[in-house]
Amino acid sequence: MLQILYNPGRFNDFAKKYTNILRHITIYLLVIGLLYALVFSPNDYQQGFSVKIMYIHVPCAWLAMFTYVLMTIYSILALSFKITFGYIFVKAAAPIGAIFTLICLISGSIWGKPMWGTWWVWDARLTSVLILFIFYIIIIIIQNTFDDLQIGEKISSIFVLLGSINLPVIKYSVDWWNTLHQPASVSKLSSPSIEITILGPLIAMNVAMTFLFFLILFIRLGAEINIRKTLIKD
Amino acid sequence: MILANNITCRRGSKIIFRNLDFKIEDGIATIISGKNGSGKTSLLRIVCNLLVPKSGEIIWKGKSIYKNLEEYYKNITYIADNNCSKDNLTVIENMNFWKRLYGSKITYENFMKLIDSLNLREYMNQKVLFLSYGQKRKLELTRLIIEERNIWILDEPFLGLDQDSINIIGETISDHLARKGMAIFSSHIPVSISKKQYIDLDLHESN
Amino acid sequence: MSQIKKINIFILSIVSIAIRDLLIQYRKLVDIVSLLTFFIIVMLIFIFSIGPYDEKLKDIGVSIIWSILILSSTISTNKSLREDFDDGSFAVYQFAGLSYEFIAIIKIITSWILYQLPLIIFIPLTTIIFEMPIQKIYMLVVTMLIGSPILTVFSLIASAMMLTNKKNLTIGSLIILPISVPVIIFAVGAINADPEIYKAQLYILTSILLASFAIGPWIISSCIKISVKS
Repeated sequence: MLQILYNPGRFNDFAKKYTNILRHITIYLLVIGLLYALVFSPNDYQQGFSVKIMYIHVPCAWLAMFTYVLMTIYSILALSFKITFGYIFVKAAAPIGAIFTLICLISGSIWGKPMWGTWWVWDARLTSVLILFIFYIIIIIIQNTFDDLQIGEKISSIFVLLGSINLPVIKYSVDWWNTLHQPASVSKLSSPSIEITILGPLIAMNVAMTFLFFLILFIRLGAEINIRKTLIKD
Repeated sequence: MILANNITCRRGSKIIFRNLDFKIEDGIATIISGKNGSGKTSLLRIVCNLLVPKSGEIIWKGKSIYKNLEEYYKNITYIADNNCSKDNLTVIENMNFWKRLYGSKITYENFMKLIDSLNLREYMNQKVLFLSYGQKRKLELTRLIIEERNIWILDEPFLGLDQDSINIIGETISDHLARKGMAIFSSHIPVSISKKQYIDLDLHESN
Repeated sequence: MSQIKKINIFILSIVSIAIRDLLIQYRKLVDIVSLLTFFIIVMLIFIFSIGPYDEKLKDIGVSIIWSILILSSTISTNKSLREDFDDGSFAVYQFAGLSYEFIAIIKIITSWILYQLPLIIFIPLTTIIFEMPIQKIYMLVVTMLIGSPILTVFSLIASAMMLTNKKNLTIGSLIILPISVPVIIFAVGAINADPEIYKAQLYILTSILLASFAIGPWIISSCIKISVKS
């Protein structure tokens, strides 16, 4: 059972079986989440309708980091245990992470304009997320630079590990430095600092977007495994 | 003695040769022949662990070399198809560098004899930049003597050499073999070495 | 006795690599001169683009100098590693019984001497242009002494990653720039900070230095191994 996490063949069988189900669940969840977030949740007393950007911004920010964490784990697996699936994973996941990071940055700056009065401030969290985006781009560039496929994936995995130093900086930047970006408010489960009317749709959107991420990831992984099969016969 | 056991080599998506077995014995030169692209260089690189074969292993002193790499490395002289002498250093500086790098115990007289036998004396203090291709190759081959190793792995050692130099290198290899050394090299040029065996890669070509 | 002899041979071979690298570069001093010239010209371009306002230049002089230091570490993205790879010297080192980690350490030392030390000697002279106070020049040299080995390690990591890539030469500098962001933040931060709190920034910079010394040779050697064994 655990083999689907690192064996390309097993994973391919698993993905073939369940991608369709996953697609249905994702669409269902996305519709529910979007309706809940955009229509049925109340406008904010101060922010008005623009608070609803949050329902895109927060899931994307979470997924941008989650993708990188997964890539880091799989890079370690690939480099230290010679698991080829790790390289395939990094190659499949990098563009998804880059897109989520980009959406996070853009939605954040659209949200920031009415709230803070500027599109962009050089505070610690924004800067570190921007650097995360640059790391994603460089990983994609490295993967496509080398003539030899195997060198490219090994070097890019090493670069993923180098860039993973950035992750704790993003996570704790709002605590370490006194910044404009508000500190995390969802994770304090014992005493959440936001209303249940906002927390509900936020969690719904988070779950829906995570499912969307896994759907895209499954499709890309399947495609990547098929490319390998044709490249390396025997 | 080195045993190669069931070696399969893959470059990119193509299998170059499959299930190759051979034996490199003390005192017998092993010559690899084959067409261009038949995997001569790859085979030599596999023997000195610069390339990992798709399957199979190299056995030395009864053990797989992967279990005894450091000891194995200390017995190898590998001369690749390109020259590693630095252009901006003189001939003697390059040779001195190799001597110090390998901690060689070669004496000064032997050193000079070596230079004389390859007709490099008048170029001794020239930069390598100004040497011809054959002279650079000869300079590279001095590493055989300087490094004082047991297993000689040479990639096209005679390419670009004149007939005299080929004979000298051939004699050097014969001497080495007479001292129970091992030598494996790829070559298109016939050499006068009495004890030799051939590995023909064309016979192992896979398709 | 034989143990001591082995160690002697080992040290001799390491030192011989270092001396040879220095000698090769000494015969091509043009490279270092061109590095220094690059430094001056980029500095002039900064000054031309900002305008010759003394007050402004005094404020941002340190930032300019540190930015150019990082830029120049990208253009000196080391040639010696590439040369050794192209002519197969790494195999020669390997069969001499040196591990790639040791080679990486030697390369860090030699390329710091070759490409960063001239800048450290040279930069305090150029600060005359910016009319900096002596305190700031002192801090600049201190941060450069701590920070420039980090840049050397990073540029060697980048060049080790790019050994088999001969087409797209800009990626080497692309790799260096984002990972050297913390270096410039803490170095310039330490120079511009108040005298009471500058020590904290220096300590962080030093810890980055130690961390890069710890993992740098390991990353460089594994990248070389990947490139050599292909």
